[in-house]
Amino acid sequence: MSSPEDRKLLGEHFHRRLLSGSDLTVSSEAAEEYLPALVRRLKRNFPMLPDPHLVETAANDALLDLIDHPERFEPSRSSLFTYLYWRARSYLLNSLGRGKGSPAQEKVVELDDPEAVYKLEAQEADAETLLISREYQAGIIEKLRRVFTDPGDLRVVVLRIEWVRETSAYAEALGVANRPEDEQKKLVKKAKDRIEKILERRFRNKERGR
Amino acid sequence: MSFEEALTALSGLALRLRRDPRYMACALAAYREQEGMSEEELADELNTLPELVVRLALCKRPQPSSPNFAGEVRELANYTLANPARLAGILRQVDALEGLSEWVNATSVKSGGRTEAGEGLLAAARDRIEPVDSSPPCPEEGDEPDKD
Repeated sequence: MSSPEDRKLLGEHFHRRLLSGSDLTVSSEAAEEYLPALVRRLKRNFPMLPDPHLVETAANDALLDLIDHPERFEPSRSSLFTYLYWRARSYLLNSLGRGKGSPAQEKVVELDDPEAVYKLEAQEADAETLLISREYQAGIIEKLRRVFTDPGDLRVVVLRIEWVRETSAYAEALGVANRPEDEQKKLVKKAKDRIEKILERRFRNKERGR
Repeated sequence: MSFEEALTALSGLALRLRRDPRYMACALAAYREQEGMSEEELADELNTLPELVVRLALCKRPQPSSPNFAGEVRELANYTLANPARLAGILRQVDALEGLSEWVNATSVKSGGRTEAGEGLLAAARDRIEPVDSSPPCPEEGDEPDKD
């Protein structure tokens, strides 16, 4: 998903899944999508904090608040990232307020004008979030490349961790999309079994080497 | 932001969620503590990458009492490349020992001391968790399993 409209839809998709309350992976997916970008933006806007961990804590608080109370987010008012940023900023300022009076706290400067940040082009924030999320996914794929040397197997693994379920996508990745549907299913299953074996072998070899 | 920085941010959240029994982070931390296992050893046990164990830790935890427990475990395993049978085994072990710990605590409170049955069960479990009846359900932040 890359266009602003796609990003908006992605945020709404996460929101609906969070509201359902029964989705086991959405917390993890939302964290991968938004948390690193949130931390980065807060660090950039608050570069002089006495304790850099305050940023991580505030970002975690904002994300966990969203997961526990998705009904507080109104998709019609802002993008999901903007909402998370403002929750995190508020947590951060509150935690700084608790320590008010110490010389270090008085030096805290927020570089961007808050109103400007609020009106920040959704496109810019979304582009940055997308970039960071893609970099992270690329890092994981790079590590998987060391385990799966066959490009077809790697493509199947990537589809699996990207949460793609349609057999047609796997058939496409394996280059068998032109085969009859039954055959596609068999070939996809075979590829998935091969992947399990590769992972199992890697584990056994590591165990032996220990 | 580099891959490592992003991973650090996500690992930090996973560390925090070790205290929240609704998350896999809590179950995985409890298992590591029971087994005296490092993060890398846990990843190997699950047949997956340590980075995908972080991903797993940030997921919600399936309940063994759920009628769809097997399906939920498969879903998590698919999303993290983990071995579903091993993942189910880990969850069952952690839940069983937590349940045992709660039961012993409850009977201990009722009778004003430990029951004989509780003693026997705890003795059987003691080689895995030590001490059973004083452990919180999930390890505290910063707790690391003992390694021989």
